[in-house]
Amino acid sequence: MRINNKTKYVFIISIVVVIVSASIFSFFLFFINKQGDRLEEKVSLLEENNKKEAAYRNITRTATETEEERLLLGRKFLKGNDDTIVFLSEIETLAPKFGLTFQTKALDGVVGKAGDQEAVKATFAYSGKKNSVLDFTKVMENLPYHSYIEALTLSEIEEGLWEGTITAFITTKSP
Amino acid sequence: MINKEEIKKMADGILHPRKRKFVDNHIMHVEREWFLGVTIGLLLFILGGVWSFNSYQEYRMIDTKDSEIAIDSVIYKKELVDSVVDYFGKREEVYDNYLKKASVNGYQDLVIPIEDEFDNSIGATTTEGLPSSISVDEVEGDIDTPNMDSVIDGEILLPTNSF
Repeated sequence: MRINNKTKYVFIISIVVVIVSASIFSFFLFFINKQGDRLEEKVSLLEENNKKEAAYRNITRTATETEEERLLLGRKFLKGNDDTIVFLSEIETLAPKFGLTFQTKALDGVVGKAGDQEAVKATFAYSGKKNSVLDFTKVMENLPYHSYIEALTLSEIEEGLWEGTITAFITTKSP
Repeated sequence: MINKEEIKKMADGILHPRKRKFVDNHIMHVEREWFLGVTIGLLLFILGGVWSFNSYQEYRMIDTKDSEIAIDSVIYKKELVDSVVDYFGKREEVYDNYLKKASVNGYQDLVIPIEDEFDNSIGATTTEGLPSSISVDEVEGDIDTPNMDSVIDGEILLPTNSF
């Protein structure tokens, strides 16, 4: 069978049109998909930023609302050597008010049991009347700092004269 | 007159009718090809339309949800902080009471009663019945010490009890 020229021409044109159409279609498909991916990336980035912004707002609000508590709690820690010296002089001034003779036996900077807190380990010896010694012991137990008593010895060294030796840990915190 | 041969042919034609075969010797059929082409084109067009519509629907209502998860993830242990603040408040109160007692009384006589809210573990609030020597190791504070580490300067820290 012979194909005439006109049919050949139409056939070639059809093939060209199909190829061009398929190419344009593929290009748009690829382009739109790529744009879709970019959009998704940007949307997720936007979501992440929104979350961060919300967290920031929340933290800022919490920080503002809790400023008083944080200041109060911050004062319960010795900050550096200056605070330690102030604390010691405070205790040394305090003891005579209870009618006690007072002596600082030892003072060390130590790391707490958990290993993540620094503390001042102080050993004090004080002597005087029984009630004074007991009350001063209570004062030491209730120091307005983050502290605890590691060891305590109370003994009557002579008639009516008592002596207390106390080892206390007072937590320090960098200013 | 019909002869015998013609009658046989007629009978054969009735008994064994020949099937008419449609034999097309043309390779190209313009109408068919156009129909196929247009059909495929329409199919592609419809599929493309469906896909486009789906994509449109997918991206039409993109909503960046202001997630609550992020807000919830910021942990502030208010109850713990309050208990710690309360703990230190009581502790300071006891401390101040003893200081007041010391400054007012000078420790000549024990007149001012100290309202001690806590039962200290050494149990040395009374002067009677106390042995002549007491030694206590690892005396914790008389109050049930809250976990301070979680509230230091408002930071969210790991929970460990003191030291």
